[in-house]
Amino acid sequence: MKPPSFTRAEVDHLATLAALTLGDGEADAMAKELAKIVAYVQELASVDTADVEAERPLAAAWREDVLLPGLSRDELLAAAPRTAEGGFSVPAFVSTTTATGVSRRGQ
Amino acid sequence: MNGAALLGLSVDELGARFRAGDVSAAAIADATLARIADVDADTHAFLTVDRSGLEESARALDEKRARGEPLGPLAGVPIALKDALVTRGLRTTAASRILEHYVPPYDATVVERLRAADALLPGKTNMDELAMGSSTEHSAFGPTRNPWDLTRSPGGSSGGSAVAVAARLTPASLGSDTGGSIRQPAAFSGVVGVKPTYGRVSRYGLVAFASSLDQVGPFATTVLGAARILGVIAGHDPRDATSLEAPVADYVAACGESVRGLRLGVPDEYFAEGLSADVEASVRAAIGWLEQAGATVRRVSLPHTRHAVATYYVLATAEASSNLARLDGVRYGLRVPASRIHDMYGTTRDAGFGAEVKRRILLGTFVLSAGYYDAYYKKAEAVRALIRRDFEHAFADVDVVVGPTAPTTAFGLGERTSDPLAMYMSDVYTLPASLAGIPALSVPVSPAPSGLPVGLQVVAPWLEEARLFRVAAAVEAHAPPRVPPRHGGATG
Repeated sequence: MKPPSFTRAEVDHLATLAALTLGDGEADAMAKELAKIVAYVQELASVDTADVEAERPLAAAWREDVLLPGLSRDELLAAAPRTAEGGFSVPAFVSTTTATGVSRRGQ
Repeated sequence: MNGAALLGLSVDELGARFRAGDVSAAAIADATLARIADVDADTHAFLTVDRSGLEESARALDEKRARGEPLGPLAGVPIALKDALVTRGLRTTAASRILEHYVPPYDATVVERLRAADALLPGKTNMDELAMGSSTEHSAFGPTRNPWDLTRSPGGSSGGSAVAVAARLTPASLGSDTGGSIRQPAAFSGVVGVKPTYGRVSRYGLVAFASSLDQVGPFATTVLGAARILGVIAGHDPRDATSLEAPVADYVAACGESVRGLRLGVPDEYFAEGLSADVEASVRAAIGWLEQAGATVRRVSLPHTRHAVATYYVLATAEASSNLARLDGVRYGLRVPASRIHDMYGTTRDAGFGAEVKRRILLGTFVLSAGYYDAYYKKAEAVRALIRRDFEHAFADVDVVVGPTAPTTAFGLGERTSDPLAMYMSDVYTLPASLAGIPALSVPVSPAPSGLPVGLQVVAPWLEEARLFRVAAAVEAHAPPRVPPRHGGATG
């Protein structure tokens, strides 16, 4: 495996995937640190894993759906940074020009 | 008996005094608050002290006792909670700016169980942000200091919970352990810390870090105290899909069982390069005590130990990058406004997360991304299976595995923060049991010549926590609980 390096563009791409906005200095520092850490974890390539299947330690258990008392809408919304009309309020996530004609914008 | 001396008592001693009517819950609550006020400006174990909640539950408990009602198994015992456990109506930050003002609408299952057992809950303890770290220096609200030497780290990520116990602010606490976050701070701070079997204790209400690894467990001044608390918090919870339905053993009884005839395995790989001579000497002496008490000792090999750090940092960061997607400024926590939703996610997460959390999210995103998934994530899952197999082979010949909890004693604050890999290495001996999903505990042994605590790690097969307590109690008989001279000093 080639020694890893991360360009600024690659770090910016990872940040976009991870929904993180990084400042200039931060992105450059992360590029260096990620390269070091990835160089270290690359040693896993040397381990012979031919005869093991990747197994999960435990499978999640299934259970019947049972209706139980839960938290009220008001209790759940109480922790939200912004609410409107009994729901979570978010900024625009669809364009006003889409075919659906949705034009509502929030914040 | 003054307040500090009261808090020098163990879980069982304090519980017995309350039960006998020697001391009121109100007096215990007052002593706890006074002790935190006296000591914690130096140690910074607590992020949030719940004065009114503590006083109210103490009053209610005193009334319950006065009415002659049956008391729960932890009645009158103050237990601090890692701030990764949600508490109804009480701020839960996970030491992150993104949750700085979050007030949860419900209690974690373990918190419900402690309340039902009549424990007193004085507040929430400091930690590495979102449990990512090994020193408690990655807290957004400043580090916790080790009461044995305030210039040193108490370990992490559950450093606040370890120090609350070490400095005798509370006789016990709860932490969470993903790769060593209970055992390593227990070793650095000189207290008992237990990571139960994966699935033994409910994680419902634990702020998630890496869901295939996270487990809640107790810290206590004594082995018996930790055993009693684990007995209360362990057991099936239908609200956690990974929770096991297996019966809960009598851990308290296990503390009284002899180690005679028990087969101890000592892994060659845990006494290799990187282990400090001081730690090795103390750990080998403790193994000698167990031998004198009738246990047999043999060498075992856990050959994949050297790959544990790399395996862990691939799997845990992958899971974290997915788990932390929920912290997006929509349903709870911080929001930094922006006009478009994706910008809002980015600005919120940039302002809300510290550097270590961002580093791990980016690494996790990388190892899961197209073109790299097989080389990193899938490979790490396969190596994890080999690490688990190492233990299965060892446990064919021995009953428990024993060795050092950490390669060194507590390191200095600031010593490793600029080198993430050096920080990760402090978990080299705790990661394998986490990856294998098996129970492990750290118990104090003789301190290093510097006076700093050293921990012996005991690892048992799946669901065999009782063996951990059996071994730890035998060690404790030779190394009784020690109190830090200045910041734990219970006098008179």
